[in-house]
Amino acid sequence: MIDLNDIISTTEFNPLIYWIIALMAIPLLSFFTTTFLKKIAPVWATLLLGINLSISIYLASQYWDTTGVSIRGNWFSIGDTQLTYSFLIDQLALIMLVVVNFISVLVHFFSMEYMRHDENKSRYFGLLGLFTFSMLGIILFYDLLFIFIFWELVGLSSFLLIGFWFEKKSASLAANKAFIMNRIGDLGFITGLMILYSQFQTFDLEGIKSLTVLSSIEDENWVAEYFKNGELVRNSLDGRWLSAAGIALFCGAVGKSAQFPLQVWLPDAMEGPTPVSALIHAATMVAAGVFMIARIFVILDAQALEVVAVVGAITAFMAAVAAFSQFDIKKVLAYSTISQLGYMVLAMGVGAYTAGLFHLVTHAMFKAGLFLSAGTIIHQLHQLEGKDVNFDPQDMRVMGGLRKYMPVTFICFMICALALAGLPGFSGFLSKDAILLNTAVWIDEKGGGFYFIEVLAFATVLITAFYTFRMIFLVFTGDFRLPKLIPASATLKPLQEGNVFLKLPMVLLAIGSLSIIFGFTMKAENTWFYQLIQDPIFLVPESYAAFNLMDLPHEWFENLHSQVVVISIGLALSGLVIAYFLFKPGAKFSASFAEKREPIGLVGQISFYHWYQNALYEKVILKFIIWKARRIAWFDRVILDGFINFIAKFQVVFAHLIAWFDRNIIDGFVHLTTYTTGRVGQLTRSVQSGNVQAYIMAALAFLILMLIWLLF
Amino acid sequence: MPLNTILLLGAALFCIGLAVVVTRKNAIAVLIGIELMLNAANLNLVAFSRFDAVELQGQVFALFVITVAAAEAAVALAIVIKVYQHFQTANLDKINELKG
Amino acid sequence: MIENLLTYIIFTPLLGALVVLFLPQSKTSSFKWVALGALGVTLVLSVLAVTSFDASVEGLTNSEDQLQLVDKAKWFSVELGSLGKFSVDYFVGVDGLNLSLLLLAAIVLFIGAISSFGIKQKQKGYFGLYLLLSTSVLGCFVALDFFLFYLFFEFMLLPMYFLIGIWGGPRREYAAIKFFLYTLVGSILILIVMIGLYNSVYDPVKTGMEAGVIENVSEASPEVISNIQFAVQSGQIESENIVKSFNMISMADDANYLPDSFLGKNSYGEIFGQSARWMAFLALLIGFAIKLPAFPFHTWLPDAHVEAPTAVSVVLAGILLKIGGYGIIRTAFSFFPDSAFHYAWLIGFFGLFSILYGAMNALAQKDLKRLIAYSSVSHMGFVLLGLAAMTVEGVTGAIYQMFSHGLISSMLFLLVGVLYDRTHDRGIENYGGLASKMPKFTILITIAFFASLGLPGFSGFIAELMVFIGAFKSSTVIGAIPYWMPVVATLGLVLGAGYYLWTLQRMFFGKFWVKDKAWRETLVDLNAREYVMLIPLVILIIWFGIYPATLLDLINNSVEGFTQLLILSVE
Repeated sequence: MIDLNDIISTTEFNPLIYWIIALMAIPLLSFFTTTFLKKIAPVWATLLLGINLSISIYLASQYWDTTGVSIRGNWFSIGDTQLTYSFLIDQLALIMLVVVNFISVLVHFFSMEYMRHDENKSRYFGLLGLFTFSMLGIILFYDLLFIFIFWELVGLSSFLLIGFWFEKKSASLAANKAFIMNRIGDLGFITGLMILYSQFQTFDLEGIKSLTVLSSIEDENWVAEYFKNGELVRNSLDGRWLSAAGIALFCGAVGKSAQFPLQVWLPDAMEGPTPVSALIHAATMVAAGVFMIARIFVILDAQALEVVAVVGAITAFMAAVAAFSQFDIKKVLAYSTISQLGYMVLAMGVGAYTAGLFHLVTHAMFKAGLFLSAGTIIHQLHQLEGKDVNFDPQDMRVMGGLRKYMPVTFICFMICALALAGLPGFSGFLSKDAILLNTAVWIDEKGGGFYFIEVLAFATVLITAFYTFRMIFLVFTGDFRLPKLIPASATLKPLQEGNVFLKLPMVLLAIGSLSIIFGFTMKAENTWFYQLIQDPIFLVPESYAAFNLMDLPHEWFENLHSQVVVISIGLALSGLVIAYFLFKPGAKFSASFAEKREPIGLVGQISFYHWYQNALYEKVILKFIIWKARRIAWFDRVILDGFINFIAKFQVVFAHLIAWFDRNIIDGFVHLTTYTTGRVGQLTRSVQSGNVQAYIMAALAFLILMLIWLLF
Repeated sequence: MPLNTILLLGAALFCIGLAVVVTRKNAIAVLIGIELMLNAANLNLVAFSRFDAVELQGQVFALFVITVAAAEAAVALAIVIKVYQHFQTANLDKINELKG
Repeated sequence: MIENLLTYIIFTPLLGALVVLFLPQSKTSSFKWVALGALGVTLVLSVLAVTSFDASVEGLTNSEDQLQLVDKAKWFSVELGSLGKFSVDYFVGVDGLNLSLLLLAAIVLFIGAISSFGIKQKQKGYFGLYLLLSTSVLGCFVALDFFLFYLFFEFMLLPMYFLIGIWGGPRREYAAIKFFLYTLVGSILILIVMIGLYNSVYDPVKTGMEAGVIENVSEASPEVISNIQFAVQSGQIESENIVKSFNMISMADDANYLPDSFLGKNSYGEIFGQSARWMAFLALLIGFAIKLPAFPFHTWLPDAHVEAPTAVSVVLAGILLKIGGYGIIRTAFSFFPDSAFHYAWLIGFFGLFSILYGAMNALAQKDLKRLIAYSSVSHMGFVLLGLAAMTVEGVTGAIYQMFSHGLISSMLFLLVGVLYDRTHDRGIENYGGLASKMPKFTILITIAFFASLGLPGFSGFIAELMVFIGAFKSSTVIGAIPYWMPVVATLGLVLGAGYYLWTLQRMFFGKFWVKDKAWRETLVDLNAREYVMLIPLVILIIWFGIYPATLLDLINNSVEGFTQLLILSVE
């Protein structure tokens, strides 16, 4: 039998550790130094991140073909239990490294222009550094505890960046919401950690995985048997805890990757600067949840995976519906992000590990591209704002016809949007197609009520294409609506294309959204990504394990593939067509768009208010908690403390009673005695007249009485 | 002289003396009353000494009484004088310091 | 190594107090320096004690061999004729259970002294009492004779009463009396058990000497001791030769209970129809739970905190509460491990309830200091939960939580003090957007808030994590508390994030706004003295958050000895 300490023993020294330390230290250095640099902070931070990107690319080229290098050491010990830290440099980590650093560099570069006039930009770049540091931690560490630690730090940097303009009340509220929603998910994560630790006494993923393989189900109990420090350990939990562990860890991903029911924080998170939205709330942090699921993928059991799949599908659909009626361009993109994350989670749930990660990577590129393009538009529109001209530069109602003014932005946006809609030739097509295909196969095998997942997944394709093109038509075609809405703005300088700081990142990301990057093919399986990363095999005890997709006959995939491709392209195109007829210049909705306040009709309302989920949380649950807290505080102050004070007061009253008793009863008795004696004295003293003759008379009288008594 | 007469005289003297002691306010008068009572007793003693012709104990006792009465009178008068000096009166009704 | 190190640590502040007492009133400005100097020496000596601590020593908590830096001297003894003899020792020493708390006390007292520099009135009394308090607190942590422990424990109330009652806020008399009486109720329960224990426990070494089995202490090898214990248990030693003792280490060993004694392991003693050991355990538990404080014995805490001056709040939250937790470990759990197991469910439940109840209360507070006071209740709940788990992780977590909370809550109260010094107001709703006016202060309070809500990277996280995993594991390993308790307890983390972030948002973010126009001038950013207090705390909190081995390596063996003791009693 295996000894735990052998699995998690410290590895031999590997110079790779220097690179890993460098990768994490450089962004941290940026965090600590930018505060002291005022003017050159942006350049300095970008430069540091550039170095980081170079290191990542170098490492990727070095370790591309290896199966994974792990480095492990002791962190601290509790009793005889070693808690370790461990890094794993495998293809997944390398790809994520490059993607995160790449987008981070671009966002830094973009921000040099975007934040040029912000007086707190040194803080901004510092926080970007903190974020990159934490994100790299999640990627590099191969230990659930460390993933959790950096997971929370990512949450912190997200909190600080969303609330970057803290003087805006909405920004600080949004930051709080993001952090607390993430925390709710993290409760699950911690619970998962507790379950796994109580079974395996380690957080090291290698250890957990090795011991999961060896664990077994006996009498509905999940039993893990292994040696630890030479002693046999036999831990047993009810089998349901195995599923619970998976679901609990997934809860963490639900928070971070904005899945139903915790997704409400992400649209609000758009209060942060737009480059932050691109980096954190579209490309990297929110994908960390999916990455985490990938890391724990093999220890998820069938039940947990079903939950994952269902949550993913529901999220994808709900958010897509919410996206099609928003006015704020960033809100549209935010809901679209949630929806796409739903796809990734769905992919994980159906066991399409590779497809999910592939979508993570493609989505990171095209969504960051979309956000940066939107950022460019917002930034350029912001330039038009002046003393008398006040408008919300994120509102699509003031846009329109921007293609003429900003052609480069338009092209970049278009490419990324096509990738989002999932049209052939763009990266999103490959990955989304792979997810849909795997989902279809999975459902064919699973059958039963799970068909609704497929329905939701395909419906989402249609809606995605629809809201994407609605956005494009509203923003880029027709006439520029701002001068009409605010005539004063017409006199100001005309709308211009952004400068190179804004353009370059956009262009690079647009190029990254072309499917050619991943291979000249229409099938995801033929891309280099699929060659590099394969679906792993589930390690949980057999009776609890889900089936592996790769065990299914290959013909199923072949047969379904042609259908799925046709249907998804068809749906995407019909989405495009519907959007065209509704929102082309001069069409019904397009014409009245600028005057609209909020959508009408049930569907419109549900979409605009995102299924009233926010209202439920804020108006009902949050209110209830605050009310409850006040009641409890009242109870504490009035009842509990009142009870204590009552006891104290009772003591005092009782003491007074005792004092009264003492004074009146006990002391009274003493007084009574003396009083009686006194009265008797009073009575007798009157006999003492002081008159000698009276005494003689008395003596005589007594003498006579005596004589009488003696004589008779 | 018959014994009865002498005893009656003694009784009368005693009663007069007692009455003086009880009723008079002046301390001197009270002293006189006491003298009367003593002498009434002496009279009785002398009278009864006739039945003891050999030793005359009654007469001897009467002599003792006269001596004691003289001494008593001396002491009592001295006290009365002191009382008078102190209270500026010899009226017994006024001298009631011992009244409770 | 210095001989009698612990004695120096305890009595250096007392010496300082005497110096303050005899300095003429004209030297008012020197009082604070005397206090700081004395506590500085204490801190240095404590660090020395920690560095000279040998982490490799193993042993059950009930063996004196695992103690280090022991000072033991006979204090007094009384002949009781046929009832034997009772002896009280001056007995101090450290093991892993109190080492961290000794260090914590030294650090917090030192920083509290710096923070006391702001005291302007009656300085002589203040610093004298503060030093007196320091002595009793430090003594309480290292005393290993129950009599001595109780003496220090009780003596603490006196300076505390005056520090709150004289230098406190508007309702100081009420708070001081409440604090004093409430804690006294707990002390009485402890005293009762102490008397019961003294009637039941004898000191094998002294008994051996009295009975003539051995000549002097050095002969007392474990073998000899067990022989003596056997002799006592089988009644071979005359009752007048038995030396009863208050030794807390002896009390943790079942063999040191007299046969048929009231609180002995196999006693049939009953109180209210319950086993006497259970009742004694409960009495100790409640006595210390008042100090901790745990629901429902916590209501003295918010009042005491709100009224106490900053430095006293710091000492109160940073150290005094830990005496409750330490007392439960050192006395209740060590003496009656079987009862602890029997009541683990209850302890865990009250821990859990305190976590949630404190957090909910904090959510509703309008006074910043009250909020932090209630958050202390919540965080001390973790200590109870970790102890109730009776696993190595849980107990380590509980000790680590005490240490970490000591640092974090000190920092929080210092920060509230910073604000209070400037405006004399702590109402959360009276401020807004302080971040733009006091950026440095905001950064530090954000750090403190996040540390307190258990963000990884700060010491609180490590502690809470260990409590969670220990509590969950408990059911598998020993079966003390059920699985759902730690799972439900995680809700405390969300509520913690809730009340801290809400406070941040209300007080620090948004447009700058204060209730009173005059505050605009008085609200200035941190000054040098405040940095000197806060920065070391930040460094310590982060250091113990990323490298917990600093502390854990020192205490691991002792904690294992402690949990071993618990497990042995259950089997």
